[in-house]
Amino acid sequence: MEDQSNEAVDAGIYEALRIVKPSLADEVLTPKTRFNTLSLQSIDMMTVVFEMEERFGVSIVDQQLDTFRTVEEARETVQKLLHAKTSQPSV
Amino acid sequence: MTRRVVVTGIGCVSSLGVGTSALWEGLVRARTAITPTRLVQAGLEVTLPAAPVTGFVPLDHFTADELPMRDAFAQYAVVAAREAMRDAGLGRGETIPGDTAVVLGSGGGGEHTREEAAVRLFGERKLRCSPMLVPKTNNQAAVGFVSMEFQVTGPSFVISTGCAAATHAIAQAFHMIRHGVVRRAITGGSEAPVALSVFQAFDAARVLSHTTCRPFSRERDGMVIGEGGGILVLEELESARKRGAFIYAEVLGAGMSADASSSVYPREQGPAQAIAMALREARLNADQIDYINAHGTGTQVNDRVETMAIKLAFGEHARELTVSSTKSLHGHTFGGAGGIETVATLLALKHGVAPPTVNYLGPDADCDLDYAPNDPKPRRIDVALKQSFAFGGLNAVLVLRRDVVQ
Repeated sequence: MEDQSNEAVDAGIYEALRIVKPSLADEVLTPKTRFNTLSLQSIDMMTVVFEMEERFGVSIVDQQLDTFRTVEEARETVQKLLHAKTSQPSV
Repeated sequence: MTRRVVVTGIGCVSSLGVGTSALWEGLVRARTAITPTRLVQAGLEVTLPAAPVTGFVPLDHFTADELPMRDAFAQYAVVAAREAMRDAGLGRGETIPGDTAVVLGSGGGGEHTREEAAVRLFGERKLRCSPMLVPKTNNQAAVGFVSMEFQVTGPSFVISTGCAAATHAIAQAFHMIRHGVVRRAITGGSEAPVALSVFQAFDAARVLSHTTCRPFSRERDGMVIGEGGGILVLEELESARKRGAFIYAEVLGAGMSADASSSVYPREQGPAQAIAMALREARLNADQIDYINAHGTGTQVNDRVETMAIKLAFGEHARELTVSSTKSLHGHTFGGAGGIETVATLLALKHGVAPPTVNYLGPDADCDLDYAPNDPKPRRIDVALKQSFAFGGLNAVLVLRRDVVQ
């Protein structure tokens, strides 16, 4: 799960978006895509973050890190959290 | 001053199909939708008779983006409401927004979604829930979607008295129009309880049949769970007349009562009191009623006590009535039951046919009225009753007359 490529994380974020809003399957999503251009209601965006947490096994909301505006920023948050996981000694 | 209230539109999703035509065809052809149904969840499995809605394709009715937030019970309500509004000749934007109410019944809300969340939480031990869980499963979700669909901004709420919820909802909507609170209402109810946890809960109370639903019959052994929704458009008589709407029936009265006796064991006095109250409001005598669409669950106790209640309320006239339970055809849809069954009652008034009580094997000593056994019964039906009873001993009765009499 840990140490994923940027492309893999982006793909996971696109997948989370398309679960919450299936019509995004028809839209081109890129790292520069801004979430506020996708006509998502607040509950939709919360669910996108929930789906990201599911996919990557990280906790974003509890650490109040759900402040990203673009896919790229979301990816950076996810990568930081994934990296923190790998650097923690396993007990 | 009170206003007169009429039904100008009906809509339905049931195990007999999508739409009121499918419902009526199933009823008069005595074609039961009850079938052995296998439910699987979290590696557990149970097969019991049930009446699920089949042939309902969500994407035929909603966009893919609308579905993640809508449990089946809310989908049924919206689709039935669309049919009812179309039938009433009212479209989006024609509702007199603030002067229309949405009052719907639901006993359990998003049962499917809640069950899946429980599996995740306790079975898979995943602490975080989907942010959509609450708005998707709460009992008022269907009311919210119906109000949004038709841009209704008037009083909108859910009534949650289990198996009587939709009948209570219609009673409430009727009284709101009658007393001038609003001019129109979208009312009825829906439920989607064909879920393993619901089956196991009802089975534990020993009310579920393991064969089929045979109300008022000898050898009856319980109820069968169904799903769907039934919706009516109620309207002030004058407003309906002004726009030349077709009138299915006038709602003349609604009676409600509590047994104040037991959570699960009904007493005949409660339903009889609700019938008397409904007739009083309707200003009708007992002998003016022709047909009763019964609660008729198919349990030993309900059908015996319901028969006693009818005899208590109607006296000698009980023998002249036709009493049938369409639950034998579309299952017991709990909070949707009063909606679907009131639609069935309105169609019985329209066509002059009492729908049958199917799966009937023969008379039972405790149930000795005319139940229209196995075959639809053509007969004159001027005035009909719809009655529903719920756990808790809560009862609701509607009086519907086909013709608007001056």
